[in-house]
Amino acid sequence: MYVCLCAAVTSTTIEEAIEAGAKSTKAVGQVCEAGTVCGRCRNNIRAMIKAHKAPEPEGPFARLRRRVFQDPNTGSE
Amino acid sequence: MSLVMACDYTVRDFDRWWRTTEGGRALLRRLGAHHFVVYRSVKEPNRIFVTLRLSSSELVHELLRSGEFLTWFDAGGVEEIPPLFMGRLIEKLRYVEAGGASGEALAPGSVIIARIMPIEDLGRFLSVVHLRRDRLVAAGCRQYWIYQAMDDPGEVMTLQEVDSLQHATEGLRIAVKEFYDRAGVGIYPNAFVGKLVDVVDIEPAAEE
Repeated sequence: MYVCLCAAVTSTTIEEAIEAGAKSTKAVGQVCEAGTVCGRCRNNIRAMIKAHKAPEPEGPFARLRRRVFQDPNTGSE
Repeated sequence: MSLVMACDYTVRDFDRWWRTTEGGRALLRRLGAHHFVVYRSVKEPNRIFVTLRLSSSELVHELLRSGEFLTWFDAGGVEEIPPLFMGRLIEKLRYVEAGGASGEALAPGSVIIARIMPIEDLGRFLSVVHLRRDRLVAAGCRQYWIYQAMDDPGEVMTLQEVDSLQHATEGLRIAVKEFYDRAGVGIYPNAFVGKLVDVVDIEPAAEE
């Protein structure tokens, strides 16, 4: 998706900047210009940085696998 | 294959915004849009989902960078600019005769469910959608459009036409649920459930 319309920067490019180590909107802007013009997309860039830090959402199969294979004594797989 | 731009956002006042779209048509004409379709959320009256059908992507970058596009959002009193999906139609599944003659027009009473989200394995997703045809039909799905983003092959937009709000909020959630776990995460909005407001044709500019 186009996240920064002013600089026509897509989420793929911003994701690459975050993957490369950009941890703030300012750092993302320095890498790819996103959020540096009107700044009205910065909350979306923040959301991407936050989502990048968060663990991947767990699907139903992962939950089932953990329930089936969990050791009842230790709680670990 | 159709090129589509789509956006899910909340305007300050829907009726006021709707009146201003008349003035935004010149911009859409310059974008090369054939028509735009507006859906309004059934639960959040100022939340809208807009799709634009374009003839090519050539002018998109140029118009985005010109800042002109922001006027479209300014007219709706939108402070934060929402992400804009741009992609191509890769699947159009029609389970029952529905909709109108013009693009995405829906049958009366229909509800649209729109999702923009990353899909880890698009091939598997498409296979599952085909395999679960009967389940989708039983859940009230009339049509299923799937678009793939141009900038990210792992990102899709799905539009489902469902026969009733009850089906939209109950049955359909389980039809291909395992693929929806990334919707609503990061920049991806929660599923949009709404009704068609209008399909607006954009007349091409008269030649001088």
